[in-house]
Amino acid sequence: MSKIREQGFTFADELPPATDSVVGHYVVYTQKKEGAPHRYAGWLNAPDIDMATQYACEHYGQDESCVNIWLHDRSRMHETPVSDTPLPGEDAPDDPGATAWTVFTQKRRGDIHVEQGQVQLGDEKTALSAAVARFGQGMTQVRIVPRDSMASTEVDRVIWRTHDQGYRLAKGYSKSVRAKWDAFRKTEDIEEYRKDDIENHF
Amino acid sequence: MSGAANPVMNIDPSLEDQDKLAEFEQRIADGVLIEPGDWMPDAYRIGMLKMAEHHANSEIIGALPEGEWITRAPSLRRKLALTAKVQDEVGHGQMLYRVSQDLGKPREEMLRDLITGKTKYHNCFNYPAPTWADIAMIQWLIDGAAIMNQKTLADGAFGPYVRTMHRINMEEAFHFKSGEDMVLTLMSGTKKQKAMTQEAFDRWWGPSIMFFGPHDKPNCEQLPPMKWRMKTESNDSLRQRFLNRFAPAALDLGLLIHVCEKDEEGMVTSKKVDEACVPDDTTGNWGVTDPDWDEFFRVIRGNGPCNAHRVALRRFSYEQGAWVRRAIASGTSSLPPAA
Ligand SMILES: [Fe+2]
Ligand SMILES: [Fe+2]
Repeated sequence: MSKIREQGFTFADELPPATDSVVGHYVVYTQKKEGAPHRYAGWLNAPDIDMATQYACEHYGQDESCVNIWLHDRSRMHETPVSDTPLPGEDAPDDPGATAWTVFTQKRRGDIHVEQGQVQLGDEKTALSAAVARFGQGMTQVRIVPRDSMASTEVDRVIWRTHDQGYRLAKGYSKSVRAKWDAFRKTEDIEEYRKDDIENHF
Repeated sequence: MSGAANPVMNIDPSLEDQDKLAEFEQRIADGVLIEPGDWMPDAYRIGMLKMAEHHANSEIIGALPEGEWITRAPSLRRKLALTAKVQDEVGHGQMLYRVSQDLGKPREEMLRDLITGKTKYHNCFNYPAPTWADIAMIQWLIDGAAIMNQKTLADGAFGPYVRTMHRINMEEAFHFKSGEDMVLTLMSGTKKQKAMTQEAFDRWWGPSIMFFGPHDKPNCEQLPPMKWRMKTESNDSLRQRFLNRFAPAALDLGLLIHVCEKDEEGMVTSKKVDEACVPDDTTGNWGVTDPDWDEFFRVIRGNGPCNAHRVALRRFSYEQGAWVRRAIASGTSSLPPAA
C-alpha cells in the first residue's frame, strides 16, 4: 500500500466549497466501425466540450472498440416527447443554406438513440417535424442536434488502443477460463453454471 | 466491483394523484418503460434517485479496495486488467450520478453526502482485502453477485437506469470473467496459493450471501419497489440463484464453505464447515446457514471493519481534488500560470 494510504488522514474542519454550477452535461455517441451509425453510449459531466471529448475517449472509448465519438451539450438537442402512437411529422425540402441537424431515433422505450441521418432546415421546429416525417416511422422518439454544436474526435485518431486489449474484455478470458474449469468440473456442471453469464459478451 | 443494492426505502404512495397513479401502475404492469418526460409519482422519482445514488456511491467506493492493489498486482497483464476494472467502476459511478442528477439531486451534493456519511454505499465494501486472493474473490463473488442483480435491474422500468445497466453489465462481464480466471489460476496453483484462496473465500463468502440484502417482506411483490419495477426480483430469490450457482462451483474447485466468526478487523477467528450448504433433495436448491443479520445492520450503521477507512480515503480524494475544481470554476484551467 502506498505510504499516503497507510497513514491516518487529517482533514480540514470544513469541506472545500461546492463547484457544481460549472459542470456541463454532455451526451456521448460512439461509432463501432467506419460507416456504422453512431449510437448513444452515455453521458458525462465536464467543464467544456474539449475536456468532455477527452473524457469521452477515456471513458466510453475504452469500454469497447470504436473508431469515432460524437458529443454535444445536452441543452442543444431537441426531441419529440416519447410516444406510444405514431409520431406526427410534416416533411419539407432541405434548404442547402440552412442549419444541418443530425437525427437520432429511439425505437422503443428504454432503447438507446441511434443516428439515422440528417435534415437541413432553418429552425428547430420545422427540422424536428421533417426529421419525424423522414426517420420517425415506428419510432418512439426523434432527437435532432445541430451539426455545428457537435464535437467529434479528429479523423484517424486512435481511440481504442491498437495493442492487445483482450485483458479488458470478457471474451479475452473465455478460452482460458473454460480450459481451467475443465480440469475441475464435469461438462454439464460447467454448462449449468454458465447459464447465468451475460451471453452476448463472450 | 459494484453493486446495485437495496437501500432501505419507505415509500408512501398515498399522497399521489390517485388517478394518475392508477394509470402509471397500469402502464408498468403492461411492461411499458418510463422515460424522464413521462408523469411519475414523486415517490417513484425519489425512490429511483435513492437507488441510483446508492448504486453510484457503491461503484466509486467499491473501486477503493481494488485500487489499492494495482501497484501490487502479480503480473503486467493482471495489473492492466485491474487498472481497467477500477477505471470501469469509477465510470459506472459517473454514469449513475448522471442518472441521479436528472432525478433531482446535484452531483456535488451527492459527493458531499457520501463523505459526510449522510448517504450509504453497499455494505460489502466495508470488509478488508488483505491479499491478492481477496481481489480475485471480490471479482468472482461480488462482481458475480452484482451481475446477477444488475441483469434483473436491466429489466426494470426506468429508461435511463435500464440503458445504464445494459452498458454497465457489458463491463461487469469482463470483471467477472477476469475474477473467475484469477480464482481458477490460484486454485490450480501451489499449496500456498490454495490456502490463501481458501482464506480469502472465507472472508468473502459471508458478505456475498448478505450482498442481496435482508430477507424480503412476505408481500414484497405488492410493495412499490417491485410493483413499480424499480427492482424485478426479490432479495431471497436472487440469493438462492447465487447459491445454486456458486456453492457447487466453489466445492468443485476444492474450496470449503465455512460459517465464520470474525474479529473487528473483519479477519476470521474461527470457522466450521457449513453443514447446511447442501442441495435440497427435492428442489435441488442449495442451502446456507443464515448469515448474522445483526452484523449486516451494524456495518450499515457505520461500524464495519473498513467503514471509516473507505470514507476517509474518499474524503481525502475529494479534498485533494479541490484545487482542480477551483481551477475549472475560475475558467483558467487551460491557461498557463500567471508570470
Ligand atoms: Fe464490477
Ligand atoms: Fe460496476
